[in-house]
Amino acid sequence: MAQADTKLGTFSPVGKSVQRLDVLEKVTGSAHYTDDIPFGNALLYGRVKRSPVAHGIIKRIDISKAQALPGVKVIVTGKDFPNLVGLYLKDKTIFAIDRVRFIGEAIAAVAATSEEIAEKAVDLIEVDIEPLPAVFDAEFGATKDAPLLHPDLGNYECPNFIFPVPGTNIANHFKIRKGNTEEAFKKCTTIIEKKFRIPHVQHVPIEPHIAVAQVEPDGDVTVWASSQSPFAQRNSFAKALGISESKVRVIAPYVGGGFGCKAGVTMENVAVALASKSGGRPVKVRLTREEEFFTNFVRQGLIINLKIGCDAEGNVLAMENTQYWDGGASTEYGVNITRAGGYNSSGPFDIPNVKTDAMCVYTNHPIGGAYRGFGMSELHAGIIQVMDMLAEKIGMDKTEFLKKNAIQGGDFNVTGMKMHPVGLQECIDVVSKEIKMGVKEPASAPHKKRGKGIGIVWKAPSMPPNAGSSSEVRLNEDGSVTVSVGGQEIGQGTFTAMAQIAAEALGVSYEMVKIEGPVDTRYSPYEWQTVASRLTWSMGNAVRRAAEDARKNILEMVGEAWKENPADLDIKEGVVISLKSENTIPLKNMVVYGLSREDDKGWIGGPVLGRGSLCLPM
Amino acid sequence: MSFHQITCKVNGAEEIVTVPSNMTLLTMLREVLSLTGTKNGCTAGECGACTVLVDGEPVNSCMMLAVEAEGKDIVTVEGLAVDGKLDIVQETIIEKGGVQCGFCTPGMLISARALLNRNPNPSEEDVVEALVGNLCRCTGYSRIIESVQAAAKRS
Repeated sequence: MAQADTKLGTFSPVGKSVQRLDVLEKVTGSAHYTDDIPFGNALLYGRVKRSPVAHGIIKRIDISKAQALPGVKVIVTGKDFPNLVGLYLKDKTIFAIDRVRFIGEAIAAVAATSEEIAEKAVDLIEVDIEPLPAVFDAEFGATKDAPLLHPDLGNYECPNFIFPVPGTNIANHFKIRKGNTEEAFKKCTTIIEKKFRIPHVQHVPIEPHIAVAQVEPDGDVTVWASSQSPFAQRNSFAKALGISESKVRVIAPYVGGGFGCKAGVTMENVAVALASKSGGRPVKVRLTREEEFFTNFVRQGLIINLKIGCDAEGNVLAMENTQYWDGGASTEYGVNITRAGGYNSSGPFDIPNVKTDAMCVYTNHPIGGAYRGFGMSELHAGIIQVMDMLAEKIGMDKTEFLKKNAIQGGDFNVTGMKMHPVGLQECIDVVSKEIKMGVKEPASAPHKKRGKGIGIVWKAPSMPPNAGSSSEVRLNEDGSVTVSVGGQEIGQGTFTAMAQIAAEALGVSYEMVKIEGPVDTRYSPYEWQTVASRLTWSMGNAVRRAAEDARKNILEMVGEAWKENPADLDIKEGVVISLKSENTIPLKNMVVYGLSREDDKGWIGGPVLGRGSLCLPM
Repeated sequence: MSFHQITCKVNGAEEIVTVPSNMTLLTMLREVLSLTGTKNGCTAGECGACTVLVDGEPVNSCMMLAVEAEGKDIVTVEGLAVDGKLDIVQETIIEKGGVQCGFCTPGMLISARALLNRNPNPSEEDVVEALVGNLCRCTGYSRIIESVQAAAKRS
């Protein structure tokens, strides 16, 4: 990877606080989110019939009364869409087919001329469900006594890094066996065993989930969705309908908060299913706030049993870590969070003996998905507390205990990889000093108490090694720069950061750069997903490469026209200058139409494009 | 279902609209008048994303029927800027970095405008209380509160 040639001068946009690109639209109310896009009178509204029980066999579905309601145009049920879908483990269908596995699971859906009529029709759909015993505890769910929720687990497709245990409710069992914990515990003077229960939470984006789908007569599908992952969604819709990816187009406007819950595919499939039978009419499905809480994605709950032991000097010698992730009714996304829980299971500590069993367990709870942190908050909550308890028990200063056991550069982690320089001890020192650790300070109000503590965490977010980013850069007649990306502006400020990077790499001012939006899989270059805090690094490098590619093309063009070496040329604030001669030319004079040769014997150049991508080889 | 013709002022302009009796003010603004700046976060009066001014008072428009708007003076986020010049609350929220995903922003700005109209010199507590009905999941609130205080100082 070429080193960036950063021309850090007074105008350099990177490192400066600039006005966000999207902020004017957002404060004036002109920014478009999915529900703001006008679709005209042909628009239908979809509503979903949902299971009132957590686990049961569907005995009967009768849609006849609903179908008779004026204004109802489409009703679909599970048998219309039998394909199994899922990101990491294909374990779910769009609608329940023979059985339901959580309260709120979609059984059928209606598209009608108004949301009100669709809702009335949903009430008219009759469903008989024979309840079955349910599983509400992940630790119990992993045992042989628990009712089997996915008898077909052995047949579900999954990649080779997910390890389901067929015949059980364990959708993924990730193991770490480092050293010999049994022997090591014998050498520990102090051992603490504790169980922690981390509850489910829901992301509560202020904008609830929403999708509009339209299917053309030739089968081409367009989906407008509040989505963090338009390209991943495109692939999922294609699989759900059994069609090729290029027949699906996803358009993703501004997202009113995602935090992980808009990274996969859930209710969007319902819009697509309805649209596939609406004769070309677009269908909008939007979740109510109530539905948002339990019918879509939640952060998995976790039951974690920790056994950690240290010697008299405070060296942590052994850890046994058993995780029961409450995956919910479908673990298509959740299995990967369990995997992250597994290979991060030691926490950022250098522990010579570690035995981890991280299990993603099916339960009749809402579906677990990606939530900011990807398992790290849940995993570390208990570990950090037990470390504190150990320090207290042996009478050692807690900060010293942390530092003593914190992982360092050169140590080997639980998966046998050698750590790069980490700087963790230095971080602990800085934090300890800044918060005046050890110094009692009064609370900010009489009814409050103040306590101090330090915790350390790490994160390896479980992305596949081929999660790629790409970008294209176009120069326009007025010297402005249009940057195309596939990552999403969900509030994190990525469009602004990309504009700063492109401006710096090219040599133009930040104000001259526009990020093309909304992201549209038909026109935008590929981006794996907007998750895992990856865009600044991954998409940023793709943008940098694309801008540098454009810059190279410009300097070669101008160099040939001026009969100068491109290495002697530079671009500063939108002007190509020569470091050797007096020649200059503003970008806007040549980035589309080219320029005349210096000896006036002809023309060179034309529209300038740059492209770049990042997908690191292993 | 009955339909009613109502007359009201919206962002300074007189509007005559026909609405069904069960339509909310929020839906009337967004779908009849195409003013999509006001957002729907819950349809339950809990999140404040739908906040508009009705005769100067901040109101959850999802909790008010459209027919109740008869004769009222309504201001939405689209009506804050005048002739392209931003309201001071819009300027300061930009400066202080109080906008991320932007979905709570229209409601926040309306609540801020309402506060400064009735109390030009609010304490921090006054600001916090005025915004208590506007939920935000991105910013953590601090910068929004700072931006309202800054707007008050500069007004």
